Amino acid sequence: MAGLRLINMRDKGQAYWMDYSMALFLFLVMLSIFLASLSNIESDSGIQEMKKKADFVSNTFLEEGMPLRWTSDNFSKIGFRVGKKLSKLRIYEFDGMTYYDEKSALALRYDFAVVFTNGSGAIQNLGNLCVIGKEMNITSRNRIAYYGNNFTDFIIKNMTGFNADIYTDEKLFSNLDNYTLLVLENPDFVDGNYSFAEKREMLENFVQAGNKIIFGGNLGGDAFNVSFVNAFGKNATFIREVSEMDIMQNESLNLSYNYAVNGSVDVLASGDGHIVFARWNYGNGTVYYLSNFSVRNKKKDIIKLIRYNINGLCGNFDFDSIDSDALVKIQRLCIVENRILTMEVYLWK
Amino acid sequence: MRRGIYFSMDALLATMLLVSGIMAFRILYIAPNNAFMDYTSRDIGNVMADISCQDAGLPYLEQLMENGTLRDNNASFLEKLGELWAQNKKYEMRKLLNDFRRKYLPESEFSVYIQNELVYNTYHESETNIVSAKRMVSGITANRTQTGYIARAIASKAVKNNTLVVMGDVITSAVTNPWGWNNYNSVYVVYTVDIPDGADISDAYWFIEAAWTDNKFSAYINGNYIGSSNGDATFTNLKDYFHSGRNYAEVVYSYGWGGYEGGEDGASHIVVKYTVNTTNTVADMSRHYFADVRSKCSIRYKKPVFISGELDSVYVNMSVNSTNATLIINYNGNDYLISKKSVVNYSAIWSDSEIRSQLAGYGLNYTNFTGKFVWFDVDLDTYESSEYTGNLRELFNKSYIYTEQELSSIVYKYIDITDTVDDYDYSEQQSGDFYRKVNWYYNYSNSSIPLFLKAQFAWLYYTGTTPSQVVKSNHIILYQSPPLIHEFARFGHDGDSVINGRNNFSLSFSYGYAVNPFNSFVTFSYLVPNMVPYGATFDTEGEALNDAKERLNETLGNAIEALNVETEALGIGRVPSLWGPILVEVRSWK
Repeated sequence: MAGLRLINMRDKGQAYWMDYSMALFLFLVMLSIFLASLSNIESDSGIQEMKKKADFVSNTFLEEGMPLRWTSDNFSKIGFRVGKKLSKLRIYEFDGMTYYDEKSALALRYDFAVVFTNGSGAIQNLGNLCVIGKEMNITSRNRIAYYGNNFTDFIIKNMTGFNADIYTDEKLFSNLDNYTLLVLENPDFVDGNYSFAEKREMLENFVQAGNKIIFGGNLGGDAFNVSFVNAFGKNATFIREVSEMDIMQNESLNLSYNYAVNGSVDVLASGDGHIVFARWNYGNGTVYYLSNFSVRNKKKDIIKLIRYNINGLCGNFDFDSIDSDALVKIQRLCIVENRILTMEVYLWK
Repeated sequence: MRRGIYFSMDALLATMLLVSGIMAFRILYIAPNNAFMDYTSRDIGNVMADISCQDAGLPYLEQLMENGTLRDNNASFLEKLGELWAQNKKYEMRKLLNDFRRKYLPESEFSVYIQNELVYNTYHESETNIVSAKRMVSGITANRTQTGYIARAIASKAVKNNTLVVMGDVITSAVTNPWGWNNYNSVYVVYTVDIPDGADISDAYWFIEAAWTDNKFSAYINGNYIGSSNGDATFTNLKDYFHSGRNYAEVVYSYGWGGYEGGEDGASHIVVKYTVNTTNTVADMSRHYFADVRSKCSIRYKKPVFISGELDSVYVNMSVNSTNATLIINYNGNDYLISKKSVVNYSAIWSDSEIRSQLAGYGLNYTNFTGKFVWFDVDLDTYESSEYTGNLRELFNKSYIYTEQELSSIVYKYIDITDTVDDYDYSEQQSGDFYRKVNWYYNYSNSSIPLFLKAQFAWLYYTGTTPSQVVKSNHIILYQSPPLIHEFARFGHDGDSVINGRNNFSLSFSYGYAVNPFNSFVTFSYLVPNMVPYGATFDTEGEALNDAKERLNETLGNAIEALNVETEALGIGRVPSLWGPILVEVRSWK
């Protein structure tokens, strides 16, 4: 109607043209907003679909997998839950798959990344692992040190992979504050500038403060409220389930051993009545003892145990590295092993 | 100048129209429905129930353990909260919850209720988009220092008014040949009606609605003829036809004057009202049996199953006489083909792993189904709505869908009540008794636990139209089309959206879709505790017992009458005592 009036009145004066121009301008502005809104609605429906997928991914991770202790080779359904908590070992299994396989397992066509954060929002290092899914270049630092004289190949290779600081001398004791986990292989701490008693006191204080030690072979003397004795044998059996390693009761541990531990410990594996693999708490920390790291089977499981106990730091999530205008995030509160964390699931096109 | 003003007014009017259009478009097509995405309350409840005190890492909790206010570091955080509540130590409880929030959820807004009493709140609740999750907890109170008597009471036998509802499924088979004429086929449907032993039946009726409005049908109960009709009919005063135990209700459909298929449209229902002495009659919610169906044409059977809790596994076990069978799962109006199988030895089975993996391929998992109706559609032979009669196809009533699911609440020590929801209003007539807007109203008291609401609708759809469909529970949108659900015969929801007081369940359709509220059927199920826990401390045993009986009667309410009440009094003096079970509710909002 407005257009018809305009044709009839175009010679009536400039004031009408001004009005007409203003009206046309307003109309075009609103038309642009309308068209932009249509475009946003299409985009919104895509976002809704992504939200549903993120929802699906988070639920899948928080459920139990099939079988319960699934591996990347045998799963029919993935899921991190074991009992009441999310298992780091199941997370490692998933992380060990290729990114393509991870997406296939989730029936996902979007890119995705998952991090676990604490209440302050800091990304947690779950044992040399800062992010699941797409590689996001989140820097990580594992607070782990290795000390040994007679290196066992598969141990030292993985220590390097975990970015552990490697020591062969007493400098380790000057830097203990930098670490939360020590892996000591046949240390025999008798010789050196520090006496065994001094080294023992430093190590005991280290564990007392809530840190962890995994050591094998001969320590050089008694420590951590237990004693070490000479004992000889070739095979042992796990006498209980070891959840940190995915080991079930009655599985065998093939190793030649010269030492065993005596004391109030959780016996993990024994041979001929000798305790060759044990775990016990000392102060606020935990000690694991294995008579000999040079095992003939269960090598991967030993590495799982080390990785399980790694703590460290992670850098920040660099959102700028995601080249997408559609990013969806879902947060779920959960328990990972013994800690309450927030699982953050990111999806993008 | 006046004409100039007209130009400006035109422009302003056009602006207002466009703004209104944009707003209406956004509201209609992208109305927010994010309730299903918010897991905060559920996650908080789960984590508090699963984390042990020693792992919770809260210094104040450790302090309470050290000074002896609480014991047992391996107990869950939620158990210790309940224990503090039982000891009326509200300051300690609030401080623990506040520490929990500051350490783990500093950005989240939530509140915690115990037995419907607000015990912690981060901020004022917003009025919309509140999501709730509930957990039961019980335990032992430490350090009770009072002396005297406490008592609890249990209704070991009770009589309750109950209603058994057998809701019909959507079952069709051709009664016309490819030319559209009568093929002289009859479609037999036989429902099994199991009434608890010892039930005293007070009333029964049967509403039948055929798949096509012209279908002829005849109905029988336990072999006794009760009547015939076309389209739909309600047969009343049927209590003498039924007896406690297993009953059979048979209906035979045949060609009327043009409708292609004979069968049912999912609105039929049999209602039996009875009283029975029991403490629990919650039906086996894991097996969902099919009705017995016989026809000389291919058969399409659509069975809705309400998933009330977390679904762990599903399988479908069909016992049929046909060449092949096809399973389709329909969820939120969309069909998801599982597979077509050859029938071997009268059997076709779909395993959990097959169904799970097929659904995963569509981006679905079982958690999507919680609190909703899911349709399991089975075709016996390739389905045709018009065909010549052939071999007899049979679907036997031992066929079933197995759904392993956890109830969202604990049934143990509760008496289940199912009430029909008879209070409704309607508006915007579509045709006859069919209306586009219908509201049902029911009351709920927070002394009980809501289980679920189930609804069955007599529906009407004008083919060729694309009406909108919106379902709400207390203003929370539970479903909003698209997709359009053509056979809107069922809907249900769990207890999460149920509120204390008057509740509203509503349907709203635009032109082209409507329901008949007079022939629709809505039920609300809830749990009433059959016991009351130990209460206050009294000087004498008699006072404590009387208090327990009074509390029990108050809890049971009008729907249940206790026949046998067992009481138990306990003399206490510096000894631990039991508390709970109590209901802990977490509400979150943004």
